[in-house]
Amino acid sequence: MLERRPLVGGAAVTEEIFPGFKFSVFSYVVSLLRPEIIRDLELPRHGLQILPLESTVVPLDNGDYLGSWADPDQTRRELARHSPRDAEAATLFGRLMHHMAMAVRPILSMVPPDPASLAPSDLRGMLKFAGHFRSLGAERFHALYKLMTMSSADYLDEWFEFDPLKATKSASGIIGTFLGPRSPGTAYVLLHHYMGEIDGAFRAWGFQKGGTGAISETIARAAKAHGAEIRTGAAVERVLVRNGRATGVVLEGGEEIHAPVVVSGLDPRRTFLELVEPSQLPGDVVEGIRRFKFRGSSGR
Amino acid sequence: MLKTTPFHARTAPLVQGQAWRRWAGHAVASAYELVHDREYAAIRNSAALLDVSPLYKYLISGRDAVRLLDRMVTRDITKCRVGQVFYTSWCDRHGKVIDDGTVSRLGEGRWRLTSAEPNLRWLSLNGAGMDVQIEEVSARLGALALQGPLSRAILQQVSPADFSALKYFRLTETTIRGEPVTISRTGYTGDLGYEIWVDAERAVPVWDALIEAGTPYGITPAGIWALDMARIEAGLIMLDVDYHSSHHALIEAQKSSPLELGLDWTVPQEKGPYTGRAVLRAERARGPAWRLVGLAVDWVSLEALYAKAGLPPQLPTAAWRVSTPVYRNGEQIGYASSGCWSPLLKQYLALAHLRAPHFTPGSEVRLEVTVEHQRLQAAATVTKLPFFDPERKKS
Repeated sequence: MLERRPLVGGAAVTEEIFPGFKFSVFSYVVSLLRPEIIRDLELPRHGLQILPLESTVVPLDNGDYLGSWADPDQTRRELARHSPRDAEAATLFGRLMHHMAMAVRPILSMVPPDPASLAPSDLRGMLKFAGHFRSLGAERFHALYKLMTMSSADYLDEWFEFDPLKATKSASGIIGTFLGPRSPGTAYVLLHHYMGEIDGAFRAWGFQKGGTGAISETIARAAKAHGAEIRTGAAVERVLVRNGRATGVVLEGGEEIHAPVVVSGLDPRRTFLELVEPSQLPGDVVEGIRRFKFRGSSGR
Repeated sequence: MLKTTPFHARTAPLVQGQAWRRWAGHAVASAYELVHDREYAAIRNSAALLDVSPLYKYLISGRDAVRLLDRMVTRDITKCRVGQVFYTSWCDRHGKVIDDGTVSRLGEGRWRLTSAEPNLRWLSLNGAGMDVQIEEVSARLGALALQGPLSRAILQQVSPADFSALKYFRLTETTIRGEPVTISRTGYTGDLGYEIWVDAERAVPVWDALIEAGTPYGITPAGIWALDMARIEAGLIMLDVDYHSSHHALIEAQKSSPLELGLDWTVPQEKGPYTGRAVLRAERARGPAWRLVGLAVDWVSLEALYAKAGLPPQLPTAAWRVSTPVYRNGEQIGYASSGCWSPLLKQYLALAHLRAPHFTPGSEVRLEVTVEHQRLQAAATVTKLPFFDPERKKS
C-alpha cells in the first residue's frame, strides 16, 4: 500500500491542524460504512468504535431553534412546538423511509448489470433487479419511483409544513451533489440519511472515536494483520505496463515496485490518464474516462 | 425530561419505590406502593384513583364534526347522542386498525376523541374541506379514572350530579367541589367506574376532593401495573402491546383488522361509507384469519410442569407483555400478547391471537411457559372475552 501523504486515509483523515487540536478534516461523520466491510475486515477488533450522534440542533433566525434527540418523545415534542402536524408526519415519513431504505439496500452492493448486454451474467442481473422491484408491490414501487425522480423540496412539501424542518431535511438531499433542493433526483439523496448503519442499527449516524481518520487507521491495521505493508510518503509516479498488463509502479525518485495486480485508489482520470500512458489503453476506454464526470461538492 | 401530568404534585410524593414508567412522553406511576396488590384490589373491591392524563385528547367541533368522525371510525357515529360515549376503533383504507379510543359527544356540535397515539394529522387529513375545527387538548385536560365498586358512592359525596341516573358510557358536565368537570361512566378496568376530565389548572383540587371524600371508602391511588391486570381480566386490548397501529407497522403481518382483534361489535353491518368499509365487509363475509381471544391456563397442567422441576407453581406478580407462542397438535397456531395471574378469578389468563379455526371458544391449546429456563407447554382453553364482567359495570 503506497500513500503519497504522511498518513493514510485520503479524505478520511484526522489531523492536528492547530497544535493540540485534532480535526476530522474532510469526512466528519460515519453511517454508510457497509456492514459487510466491517465484518469482513473485523474492524471492531482493530479499533473501530462508533460513538452515537445523539442530537442535532438548527439555530433559527428568530433566536429559536429546532432540536432533535435520540429519544422519540423528546424529539416529537420539540417538533410539535413548531408544528403539531409535522410532528406526527415525521413518524410516518420515517416509516416510509425505512421501507424505501429496505427496498434500495439490497441493490446498493450489487454490481449493476448492463441493460444493453445479452451476456448471461447481465441478463441474470436484470432478472434479479426485476424480481426485486416486483417484490415491492405497486404501492411501494410507486413511492420508490417518486423518491428516485422528485426533488427533495417537492418531496418534503408533500409531508411537512414547517420550513426550517424542510430546509434541514433538504440539506441532506443535496449533500454530495451539485444540485439544489429543487433539482429532480435529490429526493433519493435524502434516503441516504436513513440508510446509515451502525452496529446493525438502521439509520443511525455516529462519530468514530479518535475522529474519522481513526477508521482509516483501523482499516490499515486490519490490512497489516493480513500481511500488508504500508508505506507513507511514497508517491506513485506511474504504473509500469508490460505487454498490455500492469506489472507494478514507479515511485517518485525512481524506485520500482513489482506486483501481479495494481489497484488504484485514485480517481479514474488520474489513474488512467496520468499514471498510465493513454497509448497503452484501448481508445474507447480513454475516451470514456475523459467523458466521465465527477466533481467535488463538499468543503470544510 | 419526560413531561409530567397535571396531578404530578400529588402523585409524585406517593410513589414509594420510584417506580415510574413512560406513557406517551409522560412519567406516570407504575405503582405507588412497593407492591401493587392493594392497588389492584382497590379496583375490584373499593375504588382506585388512576391518573390517565397522558391519553391523547382532541376536541372536534363545527358543522361537519359528526361527518368527519363518522367517516373516520368504524362505529356509526350518527347514532351517538349528546351525552353519549362510543368506544371505537379506526382503520386505514385497507381495514387495518390505526388506533382505538372513545368518542364523546359533549354537545350538539362538540366532540372529544381520545386515543393512545397522536391522531391530529389523521383527523386533519380526513377533515380536509369540511367545516370542522380540530384542537388537540391533551396537555390542557387532566384525566382521572375512578374505578371500582365504590366509585359511585365516592363521586356522590363530591358532586351534585345524580350518578345513579348516569348510564354506562354516558357523560355529564358537572362540578366536583365547585370545580367544573366532565364525568363519563367509562374506564379501562371492566368494572363500575368513571373518568373525570378537568382543566389542567383545576386538576389538583379535584384530586384532593376525591382523596378526602374517598378515604372513608378506601380510595387508593393506583398505578399502571394494577390497571394492566384489570384490563386483561376485562379483555381490553392495548395498542403497542396487543396490536400495532397500521400507521407504524413495518410489515403486513404486524397489522390487524378490528375483526381480528375481536372488535366485531364496533364494526356495524349497516353503516354509510367510512374508511376501510369495503375491506371489512369482505372480511366479515369470509371470516377473519385471526382472532384475539382469551386463554385460561389449566392449573393442573401448569402445576405438573413446576412439580417436575421440584417447584411449586411460580406466577408472575404483574402482567407480562412478551409475545408467547401458542400451539395445538405440535404446531404454532398463534401467540399470546399479554397475560397475568388473576387474583380475583384465581386463574392464569392471557390474551392471544389465534389463527382460524383454532379460536373457537372451548378449543384446547397449549401456551408456552418457561419453567427453570426450560421452554415447556401448559394446557389452556380458548375462552370468550371478557374473563370478568360484573353486573355492577353496567347497573
